[in-house]
Amino acid sequence: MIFSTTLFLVFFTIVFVVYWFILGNIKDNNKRLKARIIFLLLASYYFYMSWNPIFILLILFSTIVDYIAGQKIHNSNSQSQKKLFLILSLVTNLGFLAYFKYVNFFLGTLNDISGSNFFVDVVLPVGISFYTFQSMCYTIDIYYGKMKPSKNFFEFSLYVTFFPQLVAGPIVRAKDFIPQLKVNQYFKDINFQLAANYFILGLVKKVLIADNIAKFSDPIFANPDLHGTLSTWVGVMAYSVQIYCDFSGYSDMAIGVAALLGFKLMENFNMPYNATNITAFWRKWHISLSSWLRDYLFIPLGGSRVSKKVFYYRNLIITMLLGGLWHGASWNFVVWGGLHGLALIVHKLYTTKYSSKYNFSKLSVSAYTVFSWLLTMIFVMVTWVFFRAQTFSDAAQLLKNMFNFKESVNYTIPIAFIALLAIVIIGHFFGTKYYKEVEEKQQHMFSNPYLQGALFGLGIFFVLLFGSDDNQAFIYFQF
Amino acid sequence: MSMKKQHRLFLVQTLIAIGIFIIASTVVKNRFNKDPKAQSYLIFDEGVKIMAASTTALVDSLILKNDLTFDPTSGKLLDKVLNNLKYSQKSKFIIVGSSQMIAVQGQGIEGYADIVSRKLNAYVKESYQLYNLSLGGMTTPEKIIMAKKGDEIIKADRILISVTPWDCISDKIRPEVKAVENKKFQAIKESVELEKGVTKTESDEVFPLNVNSKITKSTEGLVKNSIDIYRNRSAIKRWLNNKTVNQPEGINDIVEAEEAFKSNMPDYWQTANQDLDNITAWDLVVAKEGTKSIKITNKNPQNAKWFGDDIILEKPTEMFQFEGWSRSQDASEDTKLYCLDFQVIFVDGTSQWYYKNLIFSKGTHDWEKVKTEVRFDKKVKAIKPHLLFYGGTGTVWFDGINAKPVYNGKVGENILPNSNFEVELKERQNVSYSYTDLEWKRIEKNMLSIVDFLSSQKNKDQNVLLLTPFWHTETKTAYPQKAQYDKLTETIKNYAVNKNVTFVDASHILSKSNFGIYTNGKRKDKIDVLHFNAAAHDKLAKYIIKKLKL
Repeated sequence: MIFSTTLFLVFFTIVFVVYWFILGNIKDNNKRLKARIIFLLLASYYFYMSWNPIFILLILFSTIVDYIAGQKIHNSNSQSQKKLFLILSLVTNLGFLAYFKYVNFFLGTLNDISGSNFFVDVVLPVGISFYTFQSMCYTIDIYYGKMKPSKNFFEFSLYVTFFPQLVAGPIVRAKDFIPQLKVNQYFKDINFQLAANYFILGLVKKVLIADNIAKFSDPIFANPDLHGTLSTWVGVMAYSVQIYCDFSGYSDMAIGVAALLGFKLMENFNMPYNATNITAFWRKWHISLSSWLRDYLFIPLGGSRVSKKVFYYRNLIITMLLGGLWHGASWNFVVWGGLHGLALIVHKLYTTKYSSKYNFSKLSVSAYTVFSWLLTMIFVMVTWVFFRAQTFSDAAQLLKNMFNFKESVNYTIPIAFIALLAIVIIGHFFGTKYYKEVEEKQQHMFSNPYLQGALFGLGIFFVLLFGSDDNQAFIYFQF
Repeated sequence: MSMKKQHRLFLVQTLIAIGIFIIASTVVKNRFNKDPKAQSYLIFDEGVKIMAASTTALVDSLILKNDLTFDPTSGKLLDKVLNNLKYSQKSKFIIVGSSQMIAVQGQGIEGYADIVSRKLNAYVKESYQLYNLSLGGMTTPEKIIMAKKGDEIIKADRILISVTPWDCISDKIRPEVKAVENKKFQAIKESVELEKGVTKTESDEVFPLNVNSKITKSTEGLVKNSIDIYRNRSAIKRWLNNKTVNQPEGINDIVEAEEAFKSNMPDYWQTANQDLDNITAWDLVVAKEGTKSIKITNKNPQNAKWFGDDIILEKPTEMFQFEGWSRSQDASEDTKLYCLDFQVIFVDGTSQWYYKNLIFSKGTHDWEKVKTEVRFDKKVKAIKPHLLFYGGTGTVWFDGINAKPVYNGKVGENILPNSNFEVELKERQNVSYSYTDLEWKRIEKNMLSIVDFLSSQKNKDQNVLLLTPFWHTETKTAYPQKAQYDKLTETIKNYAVNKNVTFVDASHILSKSNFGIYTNGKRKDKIDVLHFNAAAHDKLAKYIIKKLKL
């Protein structure tokens, strides 16, 4: 059930009406709270089962293990017992992830080395990377004493399976979400403007931009050797726009849907293509994942507080390699993560050794900013080639096309591509301008509410008119 | 209950949004309706909808009869088809190919009884149950996915994959096929009686009341009936697309692999009697005007030339101005004719060759221009351009070839199409397929990967690679690069034999009468080399039986 389908519209309308107007009429605060949690939990299970019902058992098993592990870690007096239950939780979650997502990757690598022919017929459960990470951070936080375990199983289950962000994030932290379940929500407090803003913006990003711009990237990645320099660059730029609009569009819709039920989810993107260096890019791209990796992988590895700089760089590269692998079971993703890790190291070296030594004039600062932005964007786009290409040889061919001039025979840049790119550029400009305002005031993106209303209308018009005829799955569902 | 100010404001915003939506919809709809072609867009769109509805109805009726053995929806209802394939206790034989294996030229979906798999089934019903998992415009990875999935569901005893160069060029996988790639399907089993009209679909497996599909269907119906712009959006989108990016009109219902026509040769011009062909002799780097030119390379003296078709003048005239550029490298001194030569046809039906003052220097030189103005005795009705390099060796390039009629002393516009060779041939010539060396390599690689796949499958009987029948006769061929085609066939055949895969070459078994002419659409009046008629399907079925000794 995808957010941009009529089925979801009906599903959510029913959830919304029952949640606010039927369960909202329960007089007893405590009972109302519990009824709503159970109702949202059932709705979330239904939502997930509409993909592949059998995998709900997997979520249920993870939930039970982590719920019990959380209690045991908290209640145990001995450190070794705490550790044991944490390991149980991690092994369960990572075990499922390893089996369902990576088993054929490991076997394929083994086959390549040994010439064997192992293969396991396994289907990847939707959103497994998201909910296992979410579930794991709960037990880790309890282990480090950052939070207490939830006393209510349904409460914890809803945290793991809350349908707006279940299949493609944002990855929510238990300490941010579970407290919201303990407070009764009131209809009068819903910020409709903000919710509509997020949802329609997400819809436009996904249906209007990502689905349509995919038409310019798919053919390039399907047959890399048949394309020249210009068409390959257009294809790679189109994919850069597609993946951003697809993923951030889903996150925006998730935030909007959650807001309509009275919940606040974290921002997952903050105009990442405005970044003027790679460190800033990762502060703006998939924020919930990058902060998760920072808190639960990079820092436990030693982070930046290490005796030697080399350990810091080692931690950085391990984090990014595993972050790459999180996205998919392929060496392409590992290379993608590795390249970003290297770029982060290079940027760190540069900022500590060189950048502070120079005093630029105002004009030079502007030129330097433009140059840095351009360099960052080229790097990000080049690395998307590894992310999207089906094989290494395809990626190599695409890079060859991009940097060794090859004529794109009879190719003209499609007008629709330029139009969609322009929308994203303008969107980034306005987004950067209003992002802070939205964060701080939790109000609306445009100071003029009437203009905002008009944009809602235009957004829906364009989505209905230009939306793809076939509902395409979100790219990030596969991760 | 009083309303919060913020909520009141949101209500106002909603009203504004509805207003803007209605205004935008009305403006676009009115502009669309004012276009004289609007009706044709709507009719096209309606045609697609009717076709979709009738294929859906066909799928449902075949499911009810336990007779669904193919996908008439070209993948649109693939999940449903794979979930409802016919159960049979006989040995099972899967066929996977592109539209040729599933479409009957001259017939709509009602002609499904004539497709090759049904014909085969009729002839070998004692030994095999045939399943045809072909989709229109299938690419190599799609064929492998479908064969794999089919084997998983059907537990096939034998798999046949049919290939031809044009469907081995792209590696694209359509979303419908991608969606089933990682989905686990149950093996077909004896069907339990289904509620009339109710079929198994992906999302209904746990929801016995078919609730998700019913919700989707009724809500979309409601939206379509209430929002005009949504109901006609396909037609309006196509109209807007044509208006803004000026793409060809018409329903484009054929999958990209079939549509990805690239000639790689210049429009209008063709070459003869030289070492290079129309593709390799189109030089994309050397040019006097623009970025492209045409060339002739001869190692041995030949009467080599480039030429175009007759150009008929709207208004006959006696006077003409001819001009053109050429450069040469080692054009031998014994070259007989290295010039622009115009065949001039007069109004009285007589003709004359004219190349006076249009001869280029031999040896090696940079771009050289020739230009002349000539007055003929009679009025010229038509001209045909020839660029000659007769009897010599070396390489010569031509660019910027112009023929301008002169009326009352005033030089008119050049009448030669693509005179600077910048434009690629877009229209198929009798629908033919030509490829670059790189593309031939890709085709070979993809065909070999299919052989590898067939070889790796552990089916009971030997799997088969079939070269699909095509528009091949003594005089015409869909693949004019005969040498490359023959080399490819030989390579694949040898590879298949080594890999223990049966190789059946059916590419030449049909005749001209088996192919029809497109009756509508942008290819109207062209030969449909892709699809053959019912008699040909029958012929192919018999040929397969004979070759496989079924």
